[in-house]
Amino acid sequence: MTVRPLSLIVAGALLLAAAGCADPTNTGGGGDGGAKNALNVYLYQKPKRFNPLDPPTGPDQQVMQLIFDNLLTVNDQSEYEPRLAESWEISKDAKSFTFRLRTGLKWSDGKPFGAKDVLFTYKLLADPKSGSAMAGKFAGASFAAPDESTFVITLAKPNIGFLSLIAGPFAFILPEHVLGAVPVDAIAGNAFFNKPTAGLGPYTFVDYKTDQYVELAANPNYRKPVGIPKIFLKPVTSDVATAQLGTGEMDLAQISPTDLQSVRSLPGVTVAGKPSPGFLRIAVNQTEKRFADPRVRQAMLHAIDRQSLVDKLLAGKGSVQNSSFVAAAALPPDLNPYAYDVAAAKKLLADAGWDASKPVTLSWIPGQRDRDAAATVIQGALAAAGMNVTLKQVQAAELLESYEKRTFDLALFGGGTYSVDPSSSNPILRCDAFYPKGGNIPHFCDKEIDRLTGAADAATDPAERSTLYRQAAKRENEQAAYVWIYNPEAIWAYGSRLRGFKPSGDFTVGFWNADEWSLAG
Amino acid sequence: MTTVHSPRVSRRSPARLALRRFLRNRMAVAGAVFLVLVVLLAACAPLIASHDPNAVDLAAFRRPPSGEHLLGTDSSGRDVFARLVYAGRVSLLVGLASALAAVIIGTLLGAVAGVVGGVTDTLIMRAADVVLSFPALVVVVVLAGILGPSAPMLVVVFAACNWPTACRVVRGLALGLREQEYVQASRAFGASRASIIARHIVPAVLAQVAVVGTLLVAQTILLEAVLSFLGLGVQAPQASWGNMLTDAQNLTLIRSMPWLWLPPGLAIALTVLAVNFVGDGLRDAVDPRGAR
Repeated sequence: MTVRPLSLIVAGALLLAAAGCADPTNTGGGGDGGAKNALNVYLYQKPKRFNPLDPPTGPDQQVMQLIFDNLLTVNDQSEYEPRLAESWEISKDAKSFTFRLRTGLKWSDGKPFGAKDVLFTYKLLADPKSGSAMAGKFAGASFAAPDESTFVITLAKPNIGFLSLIAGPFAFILPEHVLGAVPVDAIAGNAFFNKPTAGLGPYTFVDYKTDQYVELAANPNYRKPVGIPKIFLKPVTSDVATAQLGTGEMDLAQISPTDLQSVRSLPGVTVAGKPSPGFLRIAVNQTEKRFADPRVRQAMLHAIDRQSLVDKLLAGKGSVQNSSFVAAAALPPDLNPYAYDVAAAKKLLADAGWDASKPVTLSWIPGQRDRDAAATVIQGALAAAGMNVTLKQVQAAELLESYEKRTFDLALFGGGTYSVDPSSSNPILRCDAFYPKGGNIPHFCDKEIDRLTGAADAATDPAERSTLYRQAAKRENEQAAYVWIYNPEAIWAYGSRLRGFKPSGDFTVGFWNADEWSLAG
Repeated sequence: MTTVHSPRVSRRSPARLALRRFLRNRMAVAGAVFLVLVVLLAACAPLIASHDPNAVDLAAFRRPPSGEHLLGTDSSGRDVFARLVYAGRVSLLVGLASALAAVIIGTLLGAVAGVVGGVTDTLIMRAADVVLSFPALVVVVVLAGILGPSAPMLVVVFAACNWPTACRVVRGLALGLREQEYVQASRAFGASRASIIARHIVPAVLAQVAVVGTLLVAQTILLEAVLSFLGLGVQAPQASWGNMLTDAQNLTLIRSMPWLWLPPGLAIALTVLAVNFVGDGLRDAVDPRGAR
């Protein structure tokens, strides 16, 4: 037998690699006392850095939720949850918002926290020069800190739904004693955001090893004792995370419906699903004459067997969507369900004078298993109703450009956060919010819906507001602003060691109660 | 009286000899038989597959193999067997077309380089070196991103990346052939370079080129599968062996639903193996010096 030098080298390298696997995040074996007290959490993408001024991206937000804190967030019941603000009041004219802050709090570096920090942060958030992605939302607003425990936001225009813009994994409060001296136009590049040295969250930042993990430790100065000494957040693929749930290397992960059965059968792993705050939908380019007739969109809704999509692709973990509103207060009980009915779809298309010979392009960004399969199914369903659909996989930049130039026919996309307050659906519906000014990608426009939602946001009586929104939702359902597909549930899986985890439907706000978590055993 | 037995001289042409040598190579023959089978299956796809490869049926979702669906159904309820057979058309067509194009380009350029020589030779061969020095897969990924993924794009890009292999072989042979007496004679009679290339060089190198071409087919089938698996090749809903494998990225599906990924995986592996065996057999057959 001849031994090749190359194979010797490879074998040696493998041995070295195996020996070098003294990974601090490895909880296997249990011999290491430190690792036993560590929680391993899955991140669905690599975080970039931890800057609340940046445009929000999921993994950054997830980490920031643990190391920073904000005025209020959204809990697992899609309700506002007090954080730094103990309570808040909204003025009668829906323009002034007063927050009562907790007192006696300390930053993780021991310095005292006060309203000055909140004022400093909101001024940065509202200032486009700081590179803040939220500046547009605060246009015309003014801020004041009349005393150490009070913070007031005054809006230029009444908006009772304003809280939904700052509740959730946004607008984290930054330490003035660290960043106060940095010039506003240079703050975006500050090293603090790569390695935050002070925070108000239950955990403090220790280290970020790119492509490996983010390491956090319990914050000794947090307002109550924190139950878990160390957290490792690991960006791995969902397939790897699912496998690690089984071996105990991962304690908390989000999983896809495809893996539901196999994860459920793992011993000691709990699976919990919650309706998500967004939904999968098709934007139909209504600047094209052939799509302007609502009957064409209604026909598409009837043509697609959306219930079967939920039952099969999502393994039942989701629901059929029939409105662009998700918040319960805005949904009337009598929405048209647009049941699967090919004959009705054909009739609607015939009534609308649909030309079956002209092809229609359905564009989407590929990569998500469920969505890719949905695109194939939708193509087949629309073809059965007489729509000649071709599929087109595109990149994100290409898709956004086609939105702007209005060159797309149909665009399949998902996401969004619409569950807390109905006003969050306005930017995808209003006539003055056509893309790229707002999120109204299909260029849907209905003056009556605009009037109803405008009146609702100026109203301060919750019942009156709800009535107006329900009227708007009813009308939007009839007009079929979008071809809504389904609302997928967020599915969390966690090991038996983790106690106190309350699953949220929104992955990005999933760690909202991390200060209540603890480890068993 | 003696009977003079004329010695039995079998008149064996070189082609015949090559065929004999090829048939003696058992692996090559097995590969050839398998390939013929695959080509037949792909060519007669509509007769063999009882289902439409793109017919979506959510009622039959990820069903295991059964009498109705020989190889089960995929994540959109499509028949895996029908898709496998139709995918064979795409994969084989892309492989054959791009290998053929690469070989034609390579042969012509190689013959020109060898016969004309001088600056032309230098230019062509340096261009070949440049193309060869790029890793083909990376170039293809970049070009697929720019040109947009589609089957014709794959053929063009594969041909553009793979012509130097044939080019170098042909140039080397042409350099030798150029000095042969019969070529020099025809040149002395005033034959143009074009006619020398067409009448003397190309026919003489065909056997070697066929070997290069066969091995290229295997390479391009594999490349096509890789790119389609990555989503940069043949686009949905059209099936190719590569994009049928995308479901195999999920551990749950790998463990519990082998019918989703085993058939296309085996199809790729066996076809590429068969083509390589045939290529090896051909090489040994046309080059008796290499035969043991």
